[in-house]
Amino acid sequence: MADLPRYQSSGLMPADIQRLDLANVKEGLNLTKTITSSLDRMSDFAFKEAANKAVREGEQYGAENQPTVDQVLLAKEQGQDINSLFPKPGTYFGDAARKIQGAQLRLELEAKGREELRNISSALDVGQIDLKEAQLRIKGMTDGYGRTLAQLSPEDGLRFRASINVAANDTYNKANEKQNKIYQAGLRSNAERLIADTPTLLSDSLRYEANPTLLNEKFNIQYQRAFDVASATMDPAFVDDQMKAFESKRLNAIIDYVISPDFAANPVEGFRKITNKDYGKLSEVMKTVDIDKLKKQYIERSGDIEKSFTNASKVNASINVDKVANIKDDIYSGKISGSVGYKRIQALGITLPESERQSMLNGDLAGATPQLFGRYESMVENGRLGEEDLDNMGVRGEMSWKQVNDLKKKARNNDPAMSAAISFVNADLGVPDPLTPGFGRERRMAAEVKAHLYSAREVTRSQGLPFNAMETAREYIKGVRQGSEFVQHESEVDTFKTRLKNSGITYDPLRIYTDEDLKAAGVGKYERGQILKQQDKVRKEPQ
Amino acid sequence: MAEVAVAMAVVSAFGSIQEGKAKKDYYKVQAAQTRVESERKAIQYQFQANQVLERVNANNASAISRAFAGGTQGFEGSAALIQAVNNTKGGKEFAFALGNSDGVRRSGLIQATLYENAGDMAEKAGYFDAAGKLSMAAGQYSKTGSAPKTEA
Repeated sequence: MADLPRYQSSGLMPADIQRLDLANVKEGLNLTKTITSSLDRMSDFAFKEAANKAVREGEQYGAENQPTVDQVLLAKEQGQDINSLFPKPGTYFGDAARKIQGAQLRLELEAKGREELRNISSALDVGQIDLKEAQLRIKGMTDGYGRTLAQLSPEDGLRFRASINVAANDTYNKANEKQNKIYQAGLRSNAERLIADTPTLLSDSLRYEANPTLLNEKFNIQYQRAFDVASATMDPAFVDDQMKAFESKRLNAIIDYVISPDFAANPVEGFRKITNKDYGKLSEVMKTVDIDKLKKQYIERSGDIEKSFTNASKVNASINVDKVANIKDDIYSGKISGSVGYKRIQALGITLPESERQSMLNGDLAGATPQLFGRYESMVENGRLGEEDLDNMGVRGEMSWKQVNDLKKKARNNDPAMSAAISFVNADLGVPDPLTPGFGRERRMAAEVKAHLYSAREVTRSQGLPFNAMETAREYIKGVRQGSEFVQHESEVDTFKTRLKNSGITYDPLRIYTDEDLKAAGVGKYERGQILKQQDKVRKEPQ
Repeated sequence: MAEVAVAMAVVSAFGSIQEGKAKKDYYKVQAAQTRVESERKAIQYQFQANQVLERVNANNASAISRAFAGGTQGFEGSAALIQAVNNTKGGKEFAFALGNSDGVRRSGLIQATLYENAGDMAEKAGYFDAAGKLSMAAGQYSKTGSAPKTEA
C-alpha cells in the first residue's frame, strides 16, 4: 500500500505580542510632578511671605525694644551673656530684630566712644595722661565695645571698630605729637645742659691737663658728645645753633684760661702771647681754633667784663641805699644810737639831708598824726609820692624822719601795676579815705587781700614768672566775696538799706544815724530801734 | 506693569491647558492606531488558522482517494487512522493560530486603553499647571501694593 499523505506541521510560532508602552504611568508621574511643583511654588511663596512678615515684625520689635548702652555694658560688667537682652538669633524675627538693635547699639557705642575720645583728648591737652595711657584707654575702649557689639552682631562689631579707629586716629596722632614734643624737649634740654656745662668741663681740662695732645683729645671728646646729643634731636637748625654755642663756649673757655694767671701774668700778656702764637699747652687745641674769632670774642668779653663792673657798682650803690635804710631802722627802733648810725651811713658814702642828720644826732620830731600818715601811705601806694617828695616833707617837718624812712622803703619798692591793684582792692571792698573813721571790717578785708597780693608777688618773682597784680587782686577779692563773713555782712547791709528805705531815708554808707536823726526824719519809735540795732550790726567792728 | 504680568500668567495658564488637551488628542490617536494594528494582526492569525484547516482537509481527501484507488476502504482501516492523526495535529495548530489572534487583539486593546488613560492624565496635568500658575500670579499681584488712599 502506497503511503497515505500525512499532515505536516506548518511551524506556527507564538504571536509576537509587542511590549506595552506604559504611557499612562509616564503621564501619571508627569501629573504628580506638576502638582507637587505647583504646591512647592505656592508653599515657597507662603513661607517667604511668612518670613517677610516675621522680618518686619522683628525690625519693629527691635526698634521699639532697644536695650540701652548702659544696660548692655552693665550686663557685660556683671559677666552676663548680653544675648539675653536681645531676641533669640537664628529666626527671621530674631535676626531682623538683632540687626536693627545691633545697628542702633553701634551708633550709640560710637557716640559714647567719641565722647571718650574727647575726654582722652582733653586729658592729653592738660597733661593728665601720656601717650601710653592714651593708647591703653583707646585700645581698651575699642576692644571692649567692639567685642560687646560683636556678640550681638559681628558685622556691626567690625563696622564699629573701623569707624572708631578712624576717629581715634586723630587722638593717637595728637598723643604721638605731644609725646614726641616732650621727647624732643627732653633731647634739647639734654643738649643745652651739656652745652651749658661745657665751660666748666673745658676749663677743668685746661686747668688739670698739661699734655697738649691729650688736652686736644679731651676737647674733641667734649665736641663729639655735644654733637651726638644735639644730633639726637634730628633738627639740623638746632644742631647748628648748639654747635655754634659750643664753639662760642669753647672760645670763652680758652679766653678764660688765656686771661688767667695760669697762662700769663695778666690778661694783656695773655693776649700778647696768643697773638705771637705762643700757645703753650694750647698748641694742639689752637690748631682747630679760628684765631680771628678768638681775638674778636676776647675783645667782646673784655667789654662785658667792664660793663659788669659798672653794673656791680650800681648794685653796690643800691645795696648801700638799702643798708642805710636798715641802719635808720635800727636808729629809730633804738637798737643803736643816732651818732653810731650816722657814722655807719657816712662810711657807706651816703650824704643825708641836714635836718635828717640833726634828727639822728639830736632826736626825731613828733611827726604826722596817724590819720595823716595813713593818707601819705595811701599816696605812696598810689605812686603819688616819691622818695624825693618824702625827703622834702621830712625837711619841712611834715613827718618825722622815721616816718619818712618807712614810706621811702615802700616808695622804693613801689610799682605802678601794684599801686593800681591796691587802689582797686580799696575801692572794691569799700575802704574809704584813711581819715574817715570806722570801716574796720572793710579795712581789715582789704589788708588781708593786700597781704596776699604782696606775698603772691614775691612768690611769683622768685619763680621768675610774670606777675599780673590786677588779675591776682580780682581773684583774691572774689574769694573774699564768696566767704561766709562777707556774704553775711552784705546781707546785714541789705537789711539795713531796706529798713531805711521803708522809712523814707536814702542810705549813705558814710553816715552814722542817731536816734535824733531818725526822730527828725519822722521815723516811729519801734522802727527807730530796729534801724539803730541793724546799724550796730552793720557798723560793728570785727573782733 | 502688574496688569501685564497677570495677563501673561493667564496666557501661560491657558497654554498649559492647551498643552494638556493636545497631549490627550495625541494619545487618542495612538490608541486608535494601536486598535487597528492589533485587529490587523489578529485577522492575520485567523487566516493562518484557516490555512491549517485547508491543509488538513486536503491531506484527508488525498488519503481517502488513495485508499479507494488501492482497493481498500477510504473511511476504514489505515486510511481512517491517518485521517484521525491528521485531524489531531491540524486541530492543534488551528487552535494555536486562533490563540495567537486572540492574544494580539487583547494586547492591542490594553495598549489602547493605556494611551487613553495617559491622555486623561496629561489633560489633568495641564489643568493643575494652569491652576498653580494662576494662584502664584494672584499671590504675587496681591503683594504689589500701592500708596494708601487719602480721603478727599
